[in-house]
Amino acid sequence: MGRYVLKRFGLMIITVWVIATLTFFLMHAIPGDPLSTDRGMPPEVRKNIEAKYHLDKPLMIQYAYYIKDLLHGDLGLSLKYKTRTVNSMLMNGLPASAKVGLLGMLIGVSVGIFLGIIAALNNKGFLDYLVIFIAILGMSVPSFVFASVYQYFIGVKLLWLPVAGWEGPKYLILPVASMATFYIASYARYMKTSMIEVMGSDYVVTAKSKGLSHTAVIIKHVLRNASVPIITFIGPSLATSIVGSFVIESIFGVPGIGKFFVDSVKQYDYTMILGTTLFTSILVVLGYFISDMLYGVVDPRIRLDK
Amino acid sequence: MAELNKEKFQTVGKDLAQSQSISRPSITYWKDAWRRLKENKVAMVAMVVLILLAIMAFAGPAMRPFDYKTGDILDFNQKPGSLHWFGTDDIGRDLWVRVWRGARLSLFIGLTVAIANIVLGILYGGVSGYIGGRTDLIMMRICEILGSIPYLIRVIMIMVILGSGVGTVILAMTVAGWVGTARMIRGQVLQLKEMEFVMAAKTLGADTSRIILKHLVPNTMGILIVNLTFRIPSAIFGEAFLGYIGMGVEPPEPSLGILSQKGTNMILIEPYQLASPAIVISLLMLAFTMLGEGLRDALDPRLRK
Repeated sequence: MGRYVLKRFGLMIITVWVIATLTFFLMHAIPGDPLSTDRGMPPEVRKNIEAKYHLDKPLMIQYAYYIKDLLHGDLGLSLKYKTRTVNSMLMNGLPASAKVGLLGMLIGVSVGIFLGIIAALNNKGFLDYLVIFIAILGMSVPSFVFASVYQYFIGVKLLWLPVAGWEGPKYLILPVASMATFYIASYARYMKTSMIEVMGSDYVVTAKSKGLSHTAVIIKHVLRNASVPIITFIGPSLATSIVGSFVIESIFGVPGIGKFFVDSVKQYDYTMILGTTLFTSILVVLGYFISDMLYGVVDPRIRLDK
Repeated sequence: MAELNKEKFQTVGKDLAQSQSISRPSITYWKDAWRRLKENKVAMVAMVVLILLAIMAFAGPAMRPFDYKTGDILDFNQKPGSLHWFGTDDIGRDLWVRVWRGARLSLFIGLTVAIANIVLGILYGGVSGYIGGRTDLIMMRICEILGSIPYLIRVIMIMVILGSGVGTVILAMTVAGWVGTARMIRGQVLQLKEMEFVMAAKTLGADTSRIILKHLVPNTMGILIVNLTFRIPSAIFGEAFLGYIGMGVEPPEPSLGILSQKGTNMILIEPYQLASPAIVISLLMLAFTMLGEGLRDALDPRLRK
């Protein structure tokens, strides 16, 4: 186990480094420099600013500074708002994003797993087709479409909930529901496929033939084994949900990372875009790492093969 | 229990001629797959919907006498009616023309990206799997690292540099998207390389090119086609997403993502402006997904009974 953890951890560090390096050189491949937008800037001021941010040094030195900053958890400055750092923007956005994302994910995953179990137990029955239909619909209709549908019918037509904004728990419901829709759809499918696979396996046949009751087989053998692959999906889902959804946040005016990312794209705020990209990637890589570890804990077979 | 003795048994005899005859007409893999696909009603409906959508995407804009980039400013925000079938947008452009033109762009981008991804995937995965050893290890590590960056983030990183446009959207999604296909192809090649029929072919003296063309390629075709049908909707979604966050193709070129984004802004006053692009993109994605599922069931040899 120790070797396995170490290997995965090493790979994670390398991945983060590759992403950071790619990000850095991508940022420098963009034509123009961060200060070229300020036309009226006197050369002396420009020189001072360049010195302050090490922009006057060779690329490799800049890269060293960048990595040093990164190791201190500093993602740099915004191009558009000279006084704000990428960190402060991310930290401002994180609570709202995490609230909507985590709630939406938790609700979506639980409902999805529940629906998946129902579908698997009614394989080829009406409920199964219904669940699979909902799942395919939820997975193939883009999130901005169903977010807008919720917003229009529940917010505009029925006036049950506020259309957009961020003032209280009421404002959470629609974005969380939109977020959950996608997770419901995907987890219902994962769970169903996984259940069906386990239900056809030899040890389930054995359990049945030694006279265990249907419920005991399902709970003790099928559910436990079928949830193993689901765990691998939850780690990355957790990571991406914390950062929030670009689209859903813009639609409902949630002041989170996603919305602010879309805003920085619209304002060509490169350092912000790349800073957020880096932040998200690191979270996702971390999510994969955690889920790999969990997978190793839950399923000892994984550790055995190298 | 009744006693068993020799008298109770008799030889049936064997007819050598009969045992050699083929009782059913032999059908090829593709005919078999097609037969199975035809039985799948959902997949067939999806196929018909797709064909209709494709026809509309090409014929749609020409059906109305309007231009996609200039509209009659006096005709702005018209609800759907006999003149403007899907209504008009905030500067009076006809939405029927724009939505179908956008659908055509989506189909074009979806197909190009999917094919480009598969070609890159075959090259990378094929080389990695065929050579094996150290090369394979390094090539797969690279895949693993690239693959751990979320797909849309990879696309956005490339789009930031390249700027918006149809070509750059395609390029960004191609560069970002081949990793999954490469891994899949490599797995296939590794598996097939060791198969008995490949060994048999080698023993019979077939050269490498014959093995690749006659044995390896036909055996991966099914999986490749399935992969293609799933890649298309994900590329269509990718474009819509980019258009939606303002990084997609350049205006005035309409894309379903841009149209949906404009529609969302107008949802409080003119919801029909979101309805048409949203329905068309949902139908496109649904139809491709359903067809893909049908094809997977039809082409995947593991499901054969």
